[in-house]
Amino acid sequence: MEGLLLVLLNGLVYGLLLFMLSSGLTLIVGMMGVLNFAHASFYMLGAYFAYTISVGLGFWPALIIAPLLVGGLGALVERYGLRAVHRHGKLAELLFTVGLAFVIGEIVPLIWGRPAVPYRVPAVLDFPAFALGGINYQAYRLFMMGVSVAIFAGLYAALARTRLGLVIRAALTHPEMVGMLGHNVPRVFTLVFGAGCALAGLAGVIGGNVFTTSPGMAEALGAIVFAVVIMGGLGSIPGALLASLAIGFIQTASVTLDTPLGVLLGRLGMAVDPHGALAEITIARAAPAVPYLLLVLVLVVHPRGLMGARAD
Amino acid sequence: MLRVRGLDAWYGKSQVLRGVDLEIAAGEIVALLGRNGAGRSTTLKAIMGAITRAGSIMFDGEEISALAPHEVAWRGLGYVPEDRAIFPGLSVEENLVLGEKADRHGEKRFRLADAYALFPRLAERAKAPADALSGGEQQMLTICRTLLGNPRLLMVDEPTEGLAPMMVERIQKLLARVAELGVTILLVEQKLTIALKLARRLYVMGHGSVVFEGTPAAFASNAKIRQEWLEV
Repeated sequence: MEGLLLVLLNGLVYGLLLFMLSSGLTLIVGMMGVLNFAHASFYMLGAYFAYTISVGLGFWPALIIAPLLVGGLGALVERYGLRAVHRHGKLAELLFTVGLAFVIGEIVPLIWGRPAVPYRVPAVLDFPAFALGGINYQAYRLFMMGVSVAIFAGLYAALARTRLGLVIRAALTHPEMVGMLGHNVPRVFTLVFGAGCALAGLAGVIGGNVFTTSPGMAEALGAIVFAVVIMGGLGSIPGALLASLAIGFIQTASVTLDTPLGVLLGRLGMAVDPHGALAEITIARAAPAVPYLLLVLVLVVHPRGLMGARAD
Repeated sequence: MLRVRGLDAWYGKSQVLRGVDLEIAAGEIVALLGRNGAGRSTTLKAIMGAITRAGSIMFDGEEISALAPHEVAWRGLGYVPEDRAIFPGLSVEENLVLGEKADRHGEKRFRLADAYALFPRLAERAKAPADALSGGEQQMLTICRTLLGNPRLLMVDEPTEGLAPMMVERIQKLLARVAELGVTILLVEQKLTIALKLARRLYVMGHGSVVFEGTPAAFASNAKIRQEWLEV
């Protein structure tokens, strides 16, 4: 029972972190039609910026400054990079973001080196908040949860109650019409892109010290974030939340299961050779594939994702 | 008020408009006729700056052909698209609010209350999702949304297409009412009867150019133009 609660808590923390990345990306995709391949690279930059700032100034200033820096960088990328590429079409934009992901992926080890940097959880939050079945639960994870929830409450309020939020929601389906009603859509694009990058940066700040801050972190999470956004439905924030939590829970749970795959398939009524390869691979070892399996499953049943509005 | 000279426009690489000339004086209702694909909708989009275009577009003495759509809108041009472009996830009222904008003197003559007075049905359904409205209601919504931006020139693309006769009549009355308020109208319309009833002057387009310009009377007596460019 306690073990299950622990899995649920960890799944929630991981799911919320995924949502911090996927909410920004899904807004960008839905509104601008650009599948931003560099989104997870901004997550990585958030973690590295936070590491460097925390060495000099401590964790708390890093928590504020690093996301702002990443957001500013994102806004510049949109304004002077993507916008120039835009008139050459969707493929050019896609290739631009792929190139950007490579550039950031090469620059980071150039500055900070190949091995992981010692970005640590701040000492004030590095204590057990409570224990579950003999396992201590770190206070910092509760803090992560708190930050995520606060950010989403703020994001939701901004989208639901402000005029800018209204413009963004309208531009998710008809950006051209929004412009012809007198709203400066290119400026809104820059803002949304910057804000999405800032969210990714924040996820890097609060996640980079729990997981690891290394040059491979963007790649590791990037693919999962894509799976989340596509599974949730392009442009749908509730869809992204649902998919983030689902993948968060399922992946966290599957890591802890050492039942062999063969046994699972056997229970599902499939005939499995008890001495074959499937009998030896545990569910935990197959865990990295779980998000993608889930994605394929959802797309087979519902091609637009869980809550997608945009078909193209 | 509006003077278009030698307007070319493209969808991607294919040229759709070739040297379109148009002129509209303040207070006029002008109709733009032609078959599907003649370039009428494209002309409106090109004037709004929504597609790639070249040529001269003078609005109240100012060259606006290099401006972005939102800048064109702030000069006082309003556009109601043929597909209505209702924002589906938003309520009726949120759709209307998005159109709200002062005119260039900072005044808001046409307000939300005016829209509701004109169409009480929109007030009744204010909190409903906009995509739950009927086709006719959506057409009212989209016209009101653009009117809330207080345009001086309203460009309406096929407002009566696919609507029931009763609704067609209401839309027609609305446009006449809008004109009385002093708003100039450029109307793309398929139904000849409506165009001839409302407009004082009309243009006929064919193959991306203007092929006829004149009064409804001149048009009525010109069977050749009708046969060649309008009748199917």
